[in-house]
Amino acid sequence: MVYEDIAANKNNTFILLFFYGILIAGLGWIIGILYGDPYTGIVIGVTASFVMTFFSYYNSDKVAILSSGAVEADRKIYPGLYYAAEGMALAAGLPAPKVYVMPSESINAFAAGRDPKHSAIAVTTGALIKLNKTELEGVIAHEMSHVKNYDILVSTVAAVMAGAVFMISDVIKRSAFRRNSGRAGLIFAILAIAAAILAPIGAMAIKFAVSRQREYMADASAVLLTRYPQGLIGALEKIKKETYPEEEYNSGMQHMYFANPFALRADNLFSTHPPLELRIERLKGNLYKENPKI
Amino acid sequence: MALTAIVLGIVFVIAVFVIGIFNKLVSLKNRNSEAWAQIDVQLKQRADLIPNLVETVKGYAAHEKETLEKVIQARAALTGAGADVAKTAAADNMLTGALKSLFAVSENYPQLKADAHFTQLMTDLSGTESKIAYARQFFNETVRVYNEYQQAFPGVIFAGMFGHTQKQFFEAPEEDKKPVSVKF
Repeated sequence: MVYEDIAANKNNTFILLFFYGILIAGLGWIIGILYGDPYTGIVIGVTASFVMTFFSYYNSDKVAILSSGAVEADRKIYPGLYYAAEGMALAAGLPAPKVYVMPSESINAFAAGRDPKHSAIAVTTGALIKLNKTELEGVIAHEMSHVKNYDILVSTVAAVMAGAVFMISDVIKRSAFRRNSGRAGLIFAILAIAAAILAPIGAMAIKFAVSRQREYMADASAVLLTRYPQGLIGALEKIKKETYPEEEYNSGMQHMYFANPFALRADNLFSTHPPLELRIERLKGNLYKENPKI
Repeated sequence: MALTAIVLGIVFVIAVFVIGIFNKLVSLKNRNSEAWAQIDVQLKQRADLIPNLVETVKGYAAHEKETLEKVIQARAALTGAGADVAKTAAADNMLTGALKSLFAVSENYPQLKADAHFTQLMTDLSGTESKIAYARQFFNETVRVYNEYQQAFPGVIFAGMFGHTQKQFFEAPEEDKKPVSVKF
């Protein structure tokens, strides 16, 4: 079953990259129209989409780590984090990931990379302070499961692509009113605004489709790694008690985190993570036994 | 003519089938030895920490000779166990026990406990110990899968033929399995 998940994740990544390629080429075309040269726009758009596709495949982990503000963890300062990460890698039979620390008071973590050999796990300083050893291992085991299932490939590529689309549509929004001579200019401007609004929505929709259910899977696999559900349950319960909103998170990355920092604002349809209560309940074993696929 | 084709076809299908089983057995065996190598690395790392630990403890608690001697013996047994799973497991369990009593003894020496070097060694030792536990868990999982494939059909027909044998589990220490008893 895990192998099917891995294959599905690789397929989804391909589809995602393809879709984003078209989206970016289309955006290039619209920018071209705005500047009066649609063909140059298309050429630039297609070139950019190729470059971005390859770039985001090979460098996605670095980009994700950079935009989260995480820095490589010092082994001397965080020995426990390294031991937890290496222990979980051993339990999963995978190479040890690179370990990063994010300065933040909240409890959170994410994994990035294109495959288990190029994986990275970032943990907030808040998590390192507030969680005990078994809880931290539970969180890292959850992230390690994402690594093992190649969830990180899809989610990291999606994050980088979404970030790029946000950036480009921002450029369109700003340049939309440049050519405002006559009716044609007005129509183009409207089109451009529509595209600029639609692009991020499309980007978000894919991202959300990518995550959600896999969180339950990763929770379940994490318990298989630690053989100690109480650790993960303890961590989730500590997060539940935290109420302050997290403004420092990058919204293009929320699907990657261990727990969704925007949970309070997001509604059910667009939320990237299942509610904490359901995750805890399922870990406690009531729901999971009845219907493991939900 | 048709008969030859059918026979050839059947032979071909069987050959593909057998090759599949052969490869599966090989990859399971390799995964098992990789898992073993991982345990070995962790055990070596722990063994490397011990001389340092013994020296540090000697500085503060020289007359705890018996406890220190046990740790040294267990370490020697572990390094001498080689690739024998049962021997290594026994030596590893012995070392874990010896270290436990050493740490219990260290409770009586506040100066030792306050030593920065000793604290660092404690962190490293408990970290490696949990890494060994996880490596052991994964190793046992590979043993289970490998053994099961050899026992079940169709692996059971070919496993012996291709020279595959049942692997031994890395047994957890006896005391881990016992229920915890609290004495007052």
